[in-house]
Amino acid sequence: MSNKPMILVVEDDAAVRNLMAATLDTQGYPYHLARNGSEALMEVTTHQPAVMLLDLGLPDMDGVDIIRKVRGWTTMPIIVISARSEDADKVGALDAGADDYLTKPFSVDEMLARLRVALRRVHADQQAQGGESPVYENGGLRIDYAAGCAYMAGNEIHLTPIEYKLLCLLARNTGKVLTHNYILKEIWGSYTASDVGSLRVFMAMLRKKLQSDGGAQPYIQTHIGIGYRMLRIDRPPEETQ
Amino acid sequence: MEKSKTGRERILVCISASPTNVDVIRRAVVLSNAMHAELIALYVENSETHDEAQAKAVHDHLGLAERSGALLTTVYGDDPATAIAQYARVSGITKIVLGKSPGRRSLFSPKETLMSRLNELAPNVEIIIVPNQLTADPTRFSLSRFLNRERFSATDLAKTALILAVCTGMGFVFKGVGLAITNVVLVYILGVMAVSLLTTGYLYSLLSSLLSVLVFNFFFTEPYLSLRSSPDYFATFAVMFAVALLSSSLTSRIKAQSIQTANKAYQTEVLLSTSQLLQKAEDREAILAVLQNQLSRLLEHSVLLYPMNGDGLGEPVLHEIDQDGGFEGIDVQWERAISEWVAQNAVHAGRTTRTFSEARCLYMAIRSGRKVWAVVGIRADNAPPIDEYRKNLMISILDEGALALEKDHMTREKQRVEESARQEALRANLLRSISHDLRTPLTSISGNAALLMENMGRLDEAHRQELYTSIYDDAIWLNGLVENLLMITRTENGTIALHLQAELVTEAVEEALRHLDRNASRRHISTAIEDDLLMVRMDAALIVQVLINLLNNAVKYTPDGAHIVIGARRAGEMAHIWVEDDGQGVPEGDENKVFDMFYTGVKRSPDSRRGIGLGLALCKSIVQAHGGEIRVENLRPHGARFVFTLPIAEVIEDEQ
Repeated sequence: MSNKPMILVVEDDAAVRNLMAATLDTQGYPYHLARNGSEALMEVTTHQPAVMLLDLGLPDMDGVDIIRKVRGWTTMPIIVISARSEDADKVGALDAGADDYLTKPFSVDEMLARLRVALRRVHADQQAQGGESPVYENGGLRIDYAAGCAYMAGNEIHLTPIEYKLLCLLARNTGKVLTHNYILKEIWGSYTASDVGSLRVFMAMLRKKLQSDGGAQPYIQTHIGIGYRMLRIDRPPEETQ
Repeated sequence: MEKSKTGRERILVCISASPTNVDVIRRAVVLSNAMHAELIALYVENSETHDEAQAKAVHDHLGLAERSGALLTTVYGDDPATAIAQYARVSGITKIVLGKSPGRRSLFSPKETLMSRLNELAPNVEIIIVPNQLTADPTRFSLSRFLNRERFSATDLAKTALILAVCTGMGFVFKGVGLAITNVVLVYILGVMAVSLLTTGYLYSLLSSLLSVLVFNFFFTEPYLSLRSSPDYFATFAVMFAVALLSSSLTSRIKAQSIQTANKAYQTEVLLSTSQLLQKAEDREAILAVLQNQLSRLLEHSVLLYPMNGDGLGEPVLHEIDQDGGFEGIDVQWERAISEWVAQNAVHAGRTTRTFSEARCLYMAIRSGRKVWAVVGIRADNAPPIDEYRKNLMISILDEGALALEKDHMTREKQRVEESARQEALRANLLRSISHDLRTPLTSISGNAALLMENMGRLDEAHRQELYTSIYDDAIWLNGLVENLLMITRTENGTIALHLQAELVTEAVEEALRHLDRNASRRHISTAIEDDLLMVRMDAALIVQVLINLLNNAVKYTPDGAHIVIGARRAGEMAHIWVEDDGQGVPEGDENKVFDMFYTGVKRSPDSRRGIGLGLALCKSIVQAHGGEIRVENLRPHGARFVFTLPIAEVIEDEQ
């Protein structure tokens, strides 16, 4: 067997489950399959997978409940799968602790890309064990937490206090989609409807500052109606979303 | 006359002071109950003055009719037959119940009975006569009643004496100058006319006619200063008396009629302005506000109004004026209970009525038939009582209001039915289209897949690739269709729930570009957004769908290598967002039709699958739900530009 990390696929529809299994096979990922919520919980406890791909529309259990239960004792990345017209479900799952989402119908390439993002996070977490690093590095982006400064390709980026806070929050959760509500709560403490607009503006400014200094590769991804995510950028850039 | 709009019989009963009227009303009530008809009690008021007994009798009869469930109405007119016939024609009366021969007889009105005149004036209305049990006809002229009706007044007497004295003085002057004695007769006739104009009642006219003859005899005929005179003058006296009496009688009538005309003019004006305002009122709230205003203006009382909400009373709307202190210090709960009683029983109650007369307000139901639309309360405890005349006007206004409310209700009901029929038709049409258009790609997918399964070895690489691509394209097309259908169910059933948030236009555009057809890669797509921070209030999922549909539409109707530009700019309070291409443009004259459901362009060959014409229709309903507009314009030399507007979201950028 390869030493690739093990993936858990939770999906009640046989056709989609087979498609995902076949895709994982072609890439040589070991995997386990679960058809419903109770099987999923069993698999998580017995096999301790590295990443879980979780369909939100399961017959026996609410997907959000499964995320809450699992999050009680593991930080394993969870990628939820749902239809596009159900943004509220996605936001609910992300707020409950999911890392990312896939929208049906998705292409296998897309699924593999998301999986790689999640696995990189697992890798980074393992490296960073033993305390928070005083310096964050991601592609050309470097944040010196102690000095309170951010650099792009060695040049300092001039950020306002809120932009800096936003950047740090995204950096600490690299690879994870953060919902608007989560960000507002973390940065402003509480929020009103008008703050949602402000968040859009700050994010747009921050993205611009990172982009103008760092070429075409976007560091911050916008998920309209849902939230934002800091991408882990490898050098040289290998794939885009 | 044909039956009223509701198809029910409408029975009219005439109210009079006659003691037999009670019997007539009872018969009419029995009749209306038996026929499930609507009963209307009509009282014709005229210029004749009534004594108290008569007024009380009329009031009692009206009360009886009202308690029996009749609708009260009063009209003005000296000729009851014309008034009744007119009312019957206007309000669709089918039957009139009359007492036997309540016709008024006097020297100057035709001697026909009311019944025969009504027959003539309203030939289509059935007239039912209730036989008269009493022999005495109180409307017949009698001296005792006449004297009873006249009131003696010292000022009127003094006026009469003064006018006669002036006439006598003038007579002497004429005589001194040497004018003929006949001129003096004319002066006296003039005097009698003046008396009848300046005094009240027939008595003074009669008195002055008599006196003028006597005085003329005394002073101006030989032998002078004596009531004896030569027989030559008897004819003169007789003619003079007759002319004096006649002209005074005519003058009295003119006077009475002018008062009546003034009243009528005021009534017409109030009712006319009310109905004009009611016609302008657009919904129930506006109609109720007009009624409240008009009543308050007419009565100079504070008016409160409870609209009906379903089966119960809604929150009261107050219209307070200073004169009666508004509604301060009123036990709201208790008064509300009376209003509820009024709403349930559809009769009047409260102050000045027999029910709950200790209340502070007079409560009346605005109703048509048994259906109550609202309850009005008129503060009536600390102001002079409302006179009969105003009361009648008030009832007319309420009736008119009830009609307006009923019409409004019917219109809305009709709109609702039409709307649901339209929705139903749309749904059926949609289903038909979908079932047809879903089958085509599904056939292609299953057919291509079967081909691949069965002939795997025999197909070359290029051929296989072609089949795979076709399956993939059809699947993607189906997904787009389903996505649009889901959005349509959100918008078309009328309950579109928008999750409005301030979003950057750039982000929505980026998201849309991520979901384009595979064919889009063969077009040159660029963006031209003026301000990166342009932010609008939108439901992100819906507006992204609008952009996807517009972009896919542009891709679909342009050849490979065409240019497509997405742009946005601020224009005042709105943001203009557009998708333009350099394709063929929209067929001339179809600029508005493209947004209709199932429009798919002109040249649609049977086997070309270009969509089922949902995309742009959906764009239109989404944009309209956001309070924006969408339109298409053709570009020169060729191409089309779809523009839609969305309200701009202002953001306060503050860093604490």
